[in-house]
Amino acid sequence: MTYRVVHYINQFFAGIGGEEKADYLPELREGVVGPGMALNAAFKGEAEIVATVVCGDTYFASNMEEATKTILDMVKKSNADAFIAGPAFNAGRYGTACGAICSAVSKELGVPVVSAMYPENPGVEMYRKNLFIVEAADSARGMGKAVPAMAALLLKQLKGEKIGLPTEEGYIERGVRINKFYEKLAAERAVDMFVAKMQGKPFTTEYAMPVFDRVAPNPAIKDLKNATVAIVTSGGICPKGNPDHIEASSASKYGEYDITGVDDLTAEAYCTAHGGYDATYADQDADRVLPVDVLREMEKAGVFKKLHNKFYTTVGNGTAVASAKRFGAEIAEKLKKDGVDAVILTST
Amino acid sequence: MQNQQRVKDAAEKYGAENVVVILGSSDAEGAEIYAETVTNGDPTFAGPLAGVPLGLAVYHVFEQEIRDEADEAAWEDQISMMEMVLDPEALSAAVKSMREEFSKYTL
Amino acid sequence: MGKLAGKKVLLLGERDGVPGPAMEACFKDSGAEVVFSVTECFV
Repeated sequence: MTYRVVHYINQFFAGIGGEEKADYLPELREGVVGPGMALNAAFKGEAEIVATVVCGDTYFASNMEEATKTILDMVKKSNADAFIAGPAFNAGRYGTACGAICSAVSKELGVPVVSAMYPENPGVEMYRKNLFIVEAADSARGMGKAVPAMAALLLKQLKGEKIGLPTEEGYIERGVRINKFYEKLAAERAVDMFVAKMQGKPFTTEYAMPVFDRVAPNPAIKDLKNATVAIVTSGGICPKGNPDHIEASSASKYGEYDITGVDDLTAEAYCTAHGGYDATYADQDADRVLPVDVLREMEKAGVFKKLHNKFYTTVGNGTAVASAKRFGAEIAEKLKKDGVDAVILTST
Repeated sequence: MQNQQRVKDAAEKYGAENVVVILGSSDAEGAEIYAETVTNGDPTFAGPLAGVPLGLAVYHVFEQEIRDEADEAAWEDQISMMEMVLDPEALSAAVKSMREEFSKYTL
Repeated sequence: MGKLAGKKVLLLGERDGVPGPAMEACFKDSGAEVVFSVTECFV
């Protein structure tokens, strides 16, 4: 029995065009298109791509509900036994589309799904819990490596075979913890690891520590009296009502707000968007997190020359490190352009 | 993409055995991909040569056989400087490996 | 005349490598016909 597979690709891999064609409406084509050729070959006759769904990345992103519904119908109509999307490599909207449509197919149609992305693709963080995402390179150069792993994972799911660990099967960790029995007690294993480490011998950690980079501080301001100081916060302080809808957790954006003529943040005009601490005291008086009042006093007293007329804010609660890095870099560029000399960064 | 199409068209129009592709790539990985594209088919499956193995004779401009065909004065003038900046050995090796594996024709 | 004589040559140059026109200048008298010459990203 040859399993019937439906493949999802975007407008670029379908050869329709690049960004300018990203509004392409979902289209169902018979057989393989583009990378489907490689996937089909990798199935070695055990499965076959019977149809390909082509959809523009922008169309999917802007019409998720409708697009998902349309595509689910297409998959149903094709009597698919399984569904495969991408590989999306590092293309952000393509990755989120692949993750979203795979999740929907899995949930609504209950068939095996698989995709492939570069680990930093936003689609990974959003969807890795819902499906197997094969780890791929950051560009289409990685096509040759991603395809066999995708095909293998899909076939295993179809045949009901046991799926091994991420390192064995080549997919990105889903954050799923599985209980396992060891012969030795944890205390003994820990001591073994420690002794090996002390002896400079190799050992394998049972729990990988996250890697954080270190940023060296810039040199201190010598002439504070003539410095322009800006204030930036990850405490979520924003105009009342959070007009730009900064998320309470896993923020995807930051806000820029003008405080020209503002000497004090009041409960009528400001609040916090942060979902990781009790908002009561920050809502009562946002100066407690973003001390504009004290800074204005210092400005008047000449401690520094000028308080920058804009503040930047985001919510640091569960924010992806990659996002935070990006916000920081963008905000820094703006501050530099505006001639700011130093920044006071408040958190929570 | 247009270039993949043009290569495809040229092979069809003139016959794959009569076509020679000469690459001026600056990095070995890029050279390898372009070389594979015109011989074994687009490995990224993004263009018209996806799954279309033309098997063309492909060389990097720095390879000896191609270099020997060049006008000396023009080479000195136009290309000799890039030779010093790039890695001719790595580039030649990259293209040669694809040619030896996938080309149906050579010079 | 050398090995390129009678061949149809496609020059795929790169801006940061060897550009199309540079290669054209070198091979226009090689006996081959330069069918097309480009300088850019291939894909």
